[in-house]
Amino acid sequence: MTPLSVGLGDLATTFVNGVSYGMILVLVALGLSLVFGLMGVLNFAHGALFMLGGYIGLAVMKLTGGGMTGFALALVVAPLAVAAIGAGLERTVYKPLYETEPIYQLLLTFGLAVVIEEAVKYIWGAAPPGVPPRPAVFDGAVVFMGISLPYYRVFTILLGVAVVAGTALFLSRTRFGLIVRAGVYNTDRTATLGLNVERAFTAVFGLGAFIAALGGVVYIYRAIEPSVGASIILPAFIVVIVGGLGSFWGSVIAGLLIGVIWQFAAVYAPVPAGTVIFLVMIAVLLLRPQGLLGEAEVEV
Amino acid sequence: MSYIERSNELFESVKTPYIGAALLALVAVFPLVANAIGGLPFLTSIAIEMMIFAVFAMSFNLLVGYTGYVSFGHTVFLGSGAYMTAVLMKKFSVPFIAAAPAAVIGTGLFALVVGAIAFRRSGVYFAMITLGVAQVFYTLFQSWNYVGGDTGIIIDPPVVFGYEFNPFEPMGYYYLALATVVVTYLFTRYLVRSPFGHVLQAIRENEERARAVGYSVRTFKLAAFSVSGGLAAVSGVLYAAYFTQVAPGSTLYWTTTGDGLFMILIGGMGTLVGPIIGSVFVIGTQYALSTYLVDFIPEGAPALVARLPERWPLLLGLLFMLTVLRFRSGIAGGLGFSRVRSIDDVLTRVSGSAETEEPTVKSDGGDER
Repeated sequence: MTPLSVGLGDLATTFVNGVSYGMILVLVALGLSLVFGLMGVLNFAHGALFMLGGYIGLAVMKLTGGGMTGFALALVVAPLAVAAIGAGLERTVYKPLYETEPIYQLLLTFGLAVVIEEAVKYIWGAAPPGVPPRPAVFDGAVVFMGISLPYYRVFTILLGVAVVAGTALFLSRTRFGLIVRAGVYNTDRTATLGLNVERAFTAVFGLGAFIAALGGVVYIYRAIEPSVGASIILPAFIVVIVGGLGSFWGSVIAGLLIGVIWQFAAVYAPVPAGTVIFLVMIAVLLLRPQGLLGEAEVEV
Repeated sequence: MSYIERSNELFESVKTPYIGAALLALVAVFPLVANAIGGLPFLTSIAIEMMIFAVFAMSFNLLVGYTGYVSFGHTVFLGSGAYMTAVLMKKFSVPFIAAAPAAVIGTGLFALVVGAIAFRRSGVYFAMITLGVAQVFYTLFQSWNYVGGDTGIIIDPPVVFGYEFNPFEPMGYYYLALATVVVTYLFTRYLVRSPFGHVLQAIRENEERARAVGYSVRTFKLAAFSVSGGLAAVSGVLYAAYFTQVAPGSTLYWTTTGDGLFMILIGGMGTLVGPIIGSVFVIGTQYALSTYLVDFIPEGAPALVARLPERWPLLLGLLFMLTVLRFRSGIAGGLGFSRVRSIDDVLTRVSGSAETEEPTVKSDGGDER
């Protein structure tokens, strides 16, 4: 395909698809980045929490008979449930490892990812689950300047914007957010000031799980299956690294960027999109290891 | 006396070269016994798989256990060895006996290039670069028709000096794999006990200090990475020869790296025998749960019980987490093999107990003195 044959409409469609996929990556990467910033743990199991959110949401939808009510309920119940599970895991499984070498944390989260995926397969089966038809509200598209924007993609993008804005306000405007930001800046010093950093750890973990599960529920209408956790975590890692480990806005920008690069690569690149985004990550690690918005002082 | 010291003493009391020899003899006659009890192809094929992954885990452990660098892309070297063997045999009609060393040396050089890039960073960043490299090759090979895409390359079983290997009568493979395990074990033992190996461990314990002492840390890390990659290619060569199909999903995907980490950690990271124990344990448990657990499930059991055997990775995963949380020295640690001067040892030394008793700190690079 020569670039000349590509119409403006095609480019715009690819761009919107990229932003929509990027929003889902942002939802996974936010928690990943917050947890890394605060606790220094790169959480392999975070993708599994995303996937778990999708499955719990699906269960809620089936219990309530699908439709718009079911979907709306799923958007509330699944994130809360996964947040509780995430916070519980932080208390019981992650906490004992904060003082050990980072390699053990990485290995533990890796094992946990396997356990969550297998537990989901055990409960709901290994095959992709049957998904109730999407509420009719989401069918159709809004046409804007000759570009067709499917409602569901618009919904995904708007939800992502709302979550990012909400999290940003929470972090910047609440006392708790202040503690979290102080903890990201310097955990030990924050604790020395008498602030309860441990509680912040648990809460941030729960918050990250909540946001990821929200993404998982949105993902139900894409292609939810047990292996989704393992396949979404790799692009999410890329997002967090490209954005700068621990940087909130870095993750947001990089998430959208990687989503768009992914879509364009999928449509136009001669090599698979997965190859392209990993090459981007390697290039960033070598040329600008602190990422787009990360602090310059990184262990290199 | 601490648990570690007690177990060390226990181990000390039974430790003789004879044990190793006896174990080896036992393993050597295993196919004959398996044949006698009528389980030859099945049991022997499991043993071969264990040995192939034991070589992979030993190669990985050389890096993770002795230099302290955790790669999340080690499987790319298993895949490289397997693919180079398969491509040379299939596309260039190179005999196995020539393709095998070429694949190992080629992968060693490839690892040198990957290492040169990855060692520009450390810690999490190092892990991510290596993961990235492996994923780049995984995604490329999945869609590259020359190497068969998702299906991969299917080759004929190798013929060496007129002997035809046969996957259905796996005796030949068994002894080939066994010899490879023994040679790899002796080679890694020689390496980690050599001055070279001691520098690697110095890097693991404190890289800055090793550099300050005057070692060219980067050269040592690169050499270790290259040798580790070359050894992984040895397992890849065996993999290609035995399974006769090399596909990206089984040789290049990051879960294979994960399997290697499972084996190293459960077996005992930074010990020589740990990876072998880990491979035997992980693959053994996998087959035990997936094949034999079924027999213990009563007819008409509830669905949740009935599908338990299929979900053996769940049990293995829980065990893995438990190992990380509670038994970081792994099975080998429980048997008294210890990683040289682990954190625990150092803590024992600086705490009060060290004044009354000299802690048992192994002083060389291996499991035994």
